Amino acid sequence: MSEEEHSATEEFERQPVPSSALKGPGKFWGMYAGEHTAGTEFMIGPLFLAAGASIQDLILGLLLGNILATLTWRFLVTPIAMSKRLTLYYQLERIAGGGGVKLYNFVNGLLFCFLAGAMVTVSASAVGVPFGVTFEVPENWWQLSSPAFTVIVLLTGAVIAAIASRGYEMVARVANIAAPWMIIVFAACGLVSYTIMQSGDAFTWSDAVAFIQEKDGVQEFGFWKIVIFAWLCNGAMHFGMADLSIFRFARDKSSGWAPAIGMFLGHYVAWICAALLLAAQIKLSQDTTANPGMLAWSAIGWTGIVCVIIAGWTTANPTIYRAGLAFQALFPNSKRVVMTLVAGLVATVAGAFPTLSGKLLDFVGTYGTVLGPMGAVIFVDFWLMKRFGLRDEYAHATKSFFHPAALVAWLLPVIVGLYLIFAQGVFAAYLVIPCWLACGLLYLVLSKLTQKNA
Amino acid sequence: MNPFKIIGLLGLATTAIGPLLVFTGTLEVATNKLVMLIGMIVWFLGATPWLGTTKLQPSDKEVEI
Repeated sequence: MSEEEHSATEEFERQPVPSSALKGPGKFWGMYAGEHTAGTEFMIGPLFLAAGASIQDLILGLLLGNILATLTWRFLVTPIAMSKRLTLYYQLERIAGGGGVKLYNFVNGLLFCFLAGAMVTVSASAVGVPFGVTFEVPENWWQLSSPAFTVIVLLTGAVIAAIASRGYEMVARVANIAAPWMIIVFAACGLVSYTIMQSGDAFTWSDAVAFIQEKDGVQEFGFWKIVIFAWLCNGAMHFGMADLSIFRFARDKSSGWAPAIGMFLGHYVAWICAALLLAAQIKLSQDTTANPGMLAWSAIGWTGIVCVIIAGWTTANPTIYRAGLAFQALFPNSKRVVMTLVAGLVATVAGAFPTLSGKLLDFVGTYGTVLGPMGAVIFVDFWLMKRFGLRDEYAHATKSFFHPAALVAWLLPVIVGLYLIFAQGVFAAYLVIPCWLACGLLYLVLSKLTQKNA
Repeated sequence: MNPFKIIGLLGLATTAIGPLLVFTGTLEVATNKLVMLIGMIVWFLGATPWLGTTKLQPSDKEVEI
């Protein structure tokens, strides 16, 4: 059977991907080319400028961070994915048992809802422009924007949730159709914004940073902070092994290099271009608000509006869909449609609080800190268990519904990490690797203890 | 060659040319907005039948940031 004959519904969720369904490296380069040019890029790019990053640090820091991210996909995820050819969820189930995966699934689903919520805000920011409705990011997490913007968020979220409840296929097709065009539109935003900055009295990146810092106070976002963020903003996907679900289809190890194209188009070109939008806006109107819809509208008009709506929508849709699946796994007798609508409702409510999208750099780091460490369990189980005389895939081998080692090893570092983020104000992305290492070590130690006693 | 692919690529080229002309100083920012709008419409007219029927890939169901 050719790979074309395997439809998207044949996903081998609970069995290894057969050799007949494997895909060549070209498919992976195609997949990743459009995957990281998304709604998040419209928010993250301007936030670098708003946080006071210099253009030199941004160009070099993103370069290094994206190289490290690509290496992580290639050497951490791809070997395990090609050896096991299972999804993250099924591998975890074999390690921790069905019961053990439930909590992880729930947390995963909840974080998906918040990510989708930020994307609802992004789309709503563009929907509001033709109606003259904009938003300010409030200081307080729990503060709504204007009533008009909140209504637009609720309507946008309702539409996105309703469409997501019908499945991901239709929106995935829209995303695939829009992907090449969106990459061009991001580049266009950068070119036009740069031209605006250079026209008349030249206005540099440094001028924009100085203006923001004069208005909002001095902030620092230096080289290494940029490197760490660029490397670990997708921590859940590479360190956390979520992309095992993609690379299990890889025929060749070289497919593991494919995320490079996503990184350098999305997390390099798109971020810098989106940041230039804010710099141009500051020159034109002295407005420092990172409102994606208004930024894109000012530079390229209706094309920008449509691009921001599609970018936010096509990112929110699979996120809400996946959250729905995660919730459904908790309640096996529930209907997927209902659970997707619940996820959509949570996402919409979250989207009504614009501080979530305004703090996307922190949220994305937290997302990686919470979900990333579970990848260490997979890593240790695959590479180290047998070397230490322990049994891998313990729950599967002992037909156990719940093996606590993986869950405890994951929860303890994550709880400490969340404390450091929310109580001590540590930049979230800094904690992805320490939590990952701690989780892996704990899993090994706990396995040694529990398997001995088993 | 698939006619829809030709239409799509023409739309994509139009979308790309406008900003390049702005960059070289031969097109106004306001005019570029119209050029890009036309490019967008042409792109979706061509790309929808061209790319809309392609098989979905494993990544389409996954969440990437």
